[in-house]
Amino acid sequence: MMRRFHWLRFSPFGVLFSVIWLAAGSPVLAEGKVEVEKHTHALEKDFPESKADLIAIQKTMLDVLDQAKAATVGIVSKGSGSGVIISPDGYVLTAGHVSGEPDADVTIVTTNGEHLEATSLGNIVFADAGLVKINGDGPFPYVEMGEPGQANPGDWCFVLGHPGGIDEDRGVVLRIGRVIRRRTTTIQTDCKLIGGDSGGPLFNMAGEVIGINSRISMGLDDNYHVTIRAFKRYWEKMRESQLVRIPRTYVVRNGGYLGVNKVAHARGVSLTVIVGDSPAEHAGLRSGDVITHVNDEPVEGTFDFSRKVGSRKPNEVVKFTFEREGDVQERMIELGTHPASS
Amino acid sequence: MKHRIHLAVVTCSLCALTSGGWAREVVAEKEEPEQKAEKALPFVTSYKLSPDLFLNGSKVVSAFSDAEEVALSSTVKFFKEGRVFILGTAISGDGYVVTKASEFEDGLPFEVETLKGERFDAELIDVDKDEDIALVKMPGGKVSPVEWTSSKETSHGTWVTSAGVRGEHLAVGIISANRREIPRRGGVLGVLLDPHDDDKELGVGISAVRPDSPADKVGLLKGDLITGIGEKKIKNRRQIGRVIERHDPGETIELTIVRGEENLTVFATLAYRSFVFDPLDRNQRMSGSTSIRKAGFSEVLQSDLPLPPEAMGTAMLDLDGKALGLNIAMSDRVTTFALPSELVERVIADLMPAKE
Repeated sequence: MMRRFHWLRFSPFGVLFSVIWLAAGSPVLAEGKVEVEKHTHALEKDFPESKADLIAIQKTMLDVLDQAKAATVGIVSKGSGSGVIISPDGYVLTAGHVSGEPDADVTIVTTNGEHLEATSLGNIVFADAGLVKINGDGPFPYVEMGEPGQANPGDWCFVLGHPGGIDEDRGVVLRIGRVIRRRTTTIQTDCKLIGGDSGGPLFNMAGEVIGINSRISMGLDDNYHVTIRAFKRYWEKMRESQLVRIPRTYVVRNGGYLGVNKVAHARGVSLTVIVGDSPAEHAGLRSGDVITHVNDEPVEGTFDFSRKVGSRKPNEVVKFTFEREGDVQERMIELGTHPASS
Repeated sequence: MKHRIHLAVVTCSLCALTSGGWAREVVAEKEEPEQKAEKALPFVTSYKLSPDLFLNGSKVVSAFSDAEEVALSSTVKFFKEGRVFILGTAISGDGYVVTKASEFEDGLPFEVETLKGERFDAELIDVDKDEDIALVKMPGGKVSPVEWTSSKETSHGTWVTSAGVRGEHLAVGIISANRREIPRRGGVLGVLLDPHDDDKELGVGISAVRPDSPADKVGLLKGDLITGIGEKKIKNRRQIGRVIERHDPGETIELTIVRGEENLTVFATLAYRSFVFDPLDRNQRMSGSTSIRKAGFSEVLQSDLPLPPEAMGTAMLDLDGKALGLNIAMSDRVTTFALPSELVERVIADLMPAKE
């Protein structure tokens, strides 16, 4: 709890964010189990202050590492990715883009090199959450999922996965880091990921899965994981092999729509994806453009950007100022309506 | 190529060997909260962790102070053509330094600078090509040597640290995978071969030439037929692979080529595979600049130390500042290889000139 208030000091948006967070997040927190660990004093500090703190962090991780490794698997489907077993009867969390289409045959490769037949179940496409079931009843080595909403910035964490594919000599690859940010369906950490890690588990220091590796940007700190909240929220749909492309939230969206995905940037927001057939695509916006101003008002992060766009009406013409390859450009763009609301 | 892009903006989904449409569809991060639906997900966000508290942020790194002192006093920078191209580690009080040998293969003159900014002429004494270690002497240079310690106790999760990007700041991380051999990779010519020519007796057609590759440098063209390598007649693609693979990067091979009516003989000096083919590899493209030589080590320790390829040659230290190994290759954004201390000490003993 102390840490949350500590963060208030760092961000001008902290107050606003934390209010919303409290409103939505507190009940979950209150119900969530609080792990009391041997070395928690070092983990609770904002940063390790000594060699002893570092050793305590390492020990905490090593206490849960064997079980975490045993439950981490490679998944061979269309490509090669990773996953984690979360029940003795063989349910495997992975990334949606690893499990792919529901009801397809995939192969699970365990830490000790066993190849097991498995079947892909549901896929929450917008969150990149996927589920696989190992054929057979087990029991398989597994780890627990954490409670949603418990991973906070500054928490120590580690990932396991099979970067670049499964390599038996190398084994599963471990990386340590801290939670940088948590959103509804995404956690950002500085546990470095690369292709092949997709679907692999992000653990807290109690050895619970708190995320599933999903995507990266070029920066070493730009590693994104699907939250456990996304899995638990859609658990039944995933078990029933459903494909969910658009979150329910969007059904009521009636504000202006541009059609981009973006990440925060020092001078605004950097576009990562331009949705096909959207106002953004028609106006020629590109992935990599950094939008600095909306109607000449400076953009301060993704939240602010979404508000600036969403608070305007569909068909309103809005001026976007952006940087592309060092040039500053402007476009007048007529906003559309969100596909899910029409 | 030479600068690592830390803040570029390309987002990329992670499926290795992606095929089909899945990867394109899953990159969305859609959680804007401002219009709450009746059944909406509860909006949960948290603000961003201050960068000084990241794993490699200044506050976390300051807990590695014992090692920092050693790293900063034992590391040297190698300059050529006005820029740092590799770092090195002092192994004696009288100016002997070890570093990554393959970075010196161009034969260009170089200088050594301590982190205090004193610059010295230096001489390459000897190299161990197998393990990629060079021994350098910098007469007059006084740098504190590292103390080697056993690497046998390390395992997944052991904290490690090294002098970082330009030597001045520490990089921190952990041992991340099994200790193992990284098998040798032969040199490459830099051509893609035409699969349709496998049954022909004439030779094998070149379907593409990689830019800046050895093939490009000697003027090979798409459509040329490779009919011989050295004394050996070439009939299929597999043969070419096998023959070239036997040669190390830097070795020169003789190629017999048929271009239209002409018969040509060219001599191509083979390159490192990563130099030619990394740009075709998505994981390598997402890693920025990486070490050119990243294979052919009899044993390595693998860490997640965030070091650029120019920061190889540094000692990988434990929390006490003892050297567990020598960082030898930045392989990709999650993989840094270090030669274990035992191996490094053995190589040093072989390379050191006998005392008079």
